[in-house]
Amino acid sequence: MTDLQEELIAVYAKGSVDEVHASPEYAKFYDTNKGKPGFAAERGLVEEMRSRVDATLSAGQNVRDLVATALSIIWNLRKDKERNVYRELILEAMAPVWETKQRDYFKEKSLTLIAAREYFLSFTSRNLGYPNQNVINANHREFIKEAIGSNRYESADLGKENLLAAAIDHLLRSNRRLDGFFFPKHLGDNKLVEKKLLENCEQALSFVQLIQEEIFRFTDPVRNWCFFEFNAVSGSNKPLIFVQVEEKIDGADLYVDYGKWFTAFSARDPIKLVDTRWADRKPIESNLASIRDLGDQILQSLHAIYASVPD
Amino acid sequence: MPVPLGPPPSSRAPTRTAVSSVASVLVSHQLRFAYFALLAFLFLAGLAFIALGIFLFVKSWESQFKEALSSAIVSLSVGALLVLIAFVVHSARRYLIALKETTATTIASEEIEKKLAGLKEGDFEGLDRALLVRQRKAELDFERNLQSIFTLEEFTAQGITLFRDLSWNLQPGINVLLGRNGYGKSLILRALAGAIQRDEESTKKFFEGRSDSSTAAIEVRMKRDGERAHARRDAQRFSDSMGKVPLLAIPDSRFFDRSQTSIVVDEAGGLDLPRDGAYHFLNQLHYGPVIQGLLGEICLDYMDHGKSFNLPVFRFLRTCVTRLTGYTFDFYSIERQGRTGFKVQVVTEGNEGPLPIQYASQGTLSVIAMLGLIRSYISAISGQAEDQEGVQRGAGIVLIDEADAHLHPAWQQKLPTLLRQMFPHVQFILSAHSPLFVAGCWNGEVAILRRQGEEFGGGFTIEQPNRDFIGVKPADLYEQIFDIEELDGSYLEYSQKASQTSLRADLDREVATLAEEQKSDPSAFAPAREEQLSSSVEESRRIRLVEEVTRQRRSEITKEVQIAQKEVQIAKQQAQIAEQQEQIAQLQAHLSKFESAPAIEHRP
Repeated sequence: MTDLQEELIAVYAKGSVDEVHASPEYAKFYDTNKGKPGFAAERGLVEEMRSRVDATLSAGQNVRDLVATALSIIWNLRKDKERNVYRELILEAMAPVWETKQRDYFKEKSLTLIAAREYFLSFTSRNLGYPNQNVINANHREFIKEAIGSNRYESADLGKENLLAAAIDHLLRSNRRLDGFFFPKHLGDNKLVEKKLLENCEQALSFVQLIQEEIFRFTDPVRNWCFFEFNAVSGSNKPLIFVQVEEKIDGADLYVDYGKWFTAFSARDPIKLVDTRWADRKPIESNLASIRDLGDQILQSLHAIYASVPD
Repeated sequence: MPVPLGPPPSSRAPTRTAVSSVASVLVSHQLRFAYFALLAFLFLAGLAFIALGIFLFVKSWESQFKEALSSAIVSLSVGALLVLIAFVVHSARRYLIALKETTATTIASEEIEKKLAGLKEGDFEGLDRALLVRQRKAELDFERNLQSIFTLEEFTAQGITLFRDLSWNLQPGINVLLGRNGYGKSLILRALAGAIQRDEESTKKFFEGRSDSSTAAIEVRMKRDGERAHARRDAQRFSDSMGKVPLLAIPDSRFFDRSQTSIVVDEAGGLDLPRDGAYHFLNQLHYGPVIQGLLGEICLDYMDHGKSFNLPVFRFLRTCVTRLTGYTFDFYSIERQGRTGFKVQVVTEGNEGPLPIQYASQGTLSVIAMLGLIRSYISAISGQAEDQEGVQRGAGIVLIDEADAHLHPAWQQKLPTLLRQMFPHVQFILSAHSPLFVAGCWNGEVAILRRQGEEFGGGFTIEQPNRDFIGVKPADLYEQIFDIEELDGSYLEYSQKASQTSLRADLDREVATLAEEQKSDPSAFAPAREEQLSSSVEESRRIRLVEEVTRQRRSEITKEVQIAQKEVQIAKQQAQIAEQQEQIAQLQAHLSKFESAPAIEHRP
């Protein structure tokens, strides 16, 4: 945040847009700064955000709902600089009269929302058994084609790509307008990949993992990124959503280190995707419904933030 | 002096031998269905004869009917012969395929190596011979590739100038690369084109001055006649045996000399598009002569076909330009001008009368150049008829740098769809600035160049949104793709003035005073004062206008906030429902325990 932005926030925190315009302090500030480069744009931005604060206040909600509404507005604003200015204005203009626990909740959750994406999609493209065609791509062929199109399916490297993950990510984005972290290829230095994965695991509101028997097998020396990603979130209170993409997962080849992970999966009721090898509408529709359900579960993690504002 | 259209004539194709012609017919990808049908026929006919022979043999055995025995032997022999022929033809085809591959690779490579190994210091003649053999190998590779159908699947670059790790998945139809100025869109296209055209010179530049050149490489993964193949170049050389893949690459600058009054025909025969379709793009040469060449060819066609505008090329261009622009477009007249020139007049863009083609808008000329060249290239490369259906059947790869340049936004929005409809089997690699260009694109067709943070090594990377761009509004496209949603400068300036109550009061006072002055004695009101009044009134009007816009914006903001409030209400209600459901589940569990408990016996 620039110095000019901070000064503008301090001026606009003192009252509604109309009150600020009428104040001698604003007139003085305006005369001092009007010639500065970028002043018009910064002033326009802060004033626009102040208009949002005024609209938030005018609804006459109780403090708990006010905090939740302010968090929802932060989430719906699209640019970080807008989110940061709105947050600062709320903290300066409204939060001082809130209870400490409500103020602290807003401070923490607003930062989370500014950095967050709705989901982190964890999956494997590992495919030792069938080098020419990943069995996941074969088993879910028609569902994948339904989601991302035949062209994409036909032109993909079916041995190396997990197109089911791409299909799920695509449906969540296109149909549900959700924004997630989907990293189809691990290119380059492993250290950088680790850093990127950790950052995004931390920032996602929910963790979605595609479960197939393959991920629980011993893979050394190949890195098990799914396990790495699960470990990154397992200690947090982030919602874990498992999507079972094979009919039977019994941990037959379970690697000894993955016991806790497998137990975490077994203890939950996962979303299940059925095989769609043939162009039969019924299983395809069933999977589409499952992905809608997945979208709802992801959104619940966002709604939980609004609904958990302390009294 | 005319600008040469193509590379030096030494790279022209050698004459094909009879053996290679037979081989190319037998192994032709286009004729594979006919081949398999013939093979199946021979094999099945052979089996039928063998079955008949066995039947007759059994019959003669059972009935001691000696005459049937000779028929059985004939049938068995014919059957065995047919199966044998099928086997021989199939083996011959496989042999020819292998021979075709090795002709272009092993034999020539061995020959080059032999010649180079045998060279003595100062043996320039020997070196020339070796280089000629290498050139011949390249020609053979290219001849083979001309017969094949290619689909590019992925472009990757590692450790080259500007790009550390970059991967671009390509679709069989349209592929659009978007990015800001200076992000390297043209550079990526040039790397891709250079890699598949096996162009040493243009690709060498990507590795210059790189300290980590041992891992640096550019690679294109593709399908050749359905089989996987790749072109790879590292800092030293190309390390594959693909050869040059046919490509038409159209650069961003699609101008030709509009000061000339006539279209000059190149007497040398113009550009050989299948062979040199990417030459100007890779070498960054002026593209005007190529466009002149295309128009010259069209003029010659017109003259050779009884001066008719009913030729496929005219119909094609008329349809394309009219569909894209919404204006009527047509060729009006073509007349000879001098020995090698033509005067071409067109009717376009709502102009009442015809005008020389040079005077058509740059957008129209750009569209004619792009579509005319693609049509010409696809016809030449695929050997299909030049009519509309023939062109639509043709396959190939076409790259266009800044395909949206000079086009009206409405045309930008329509061009990808038009390309898709007119050339359904062509793979397009396009770069563009305008997000409007991606409206209507499907999942995987759009790639965006983004600058990545220093923590990830800096440089640029490609992001491919895993979503469709169907039914998206232009404003959303600008915001989602280029992050553009700034308020305009005029709004910012006047909303700033509107926020200054004292300034507004001063302005109102000034207008009132001047108006009063003018009203009291109009004849004495000096022109300078009149100008001042007019200026202040206009200033005041603009401020009021912006205030109205601001009121509108605030009302939209209020609606946004109301939506946020509703969302919070929904979240709270969902939480309550979840809580109640949990309570119900607990109660049900409790109830089921109670029901399953043994009945209490009441004893008297």
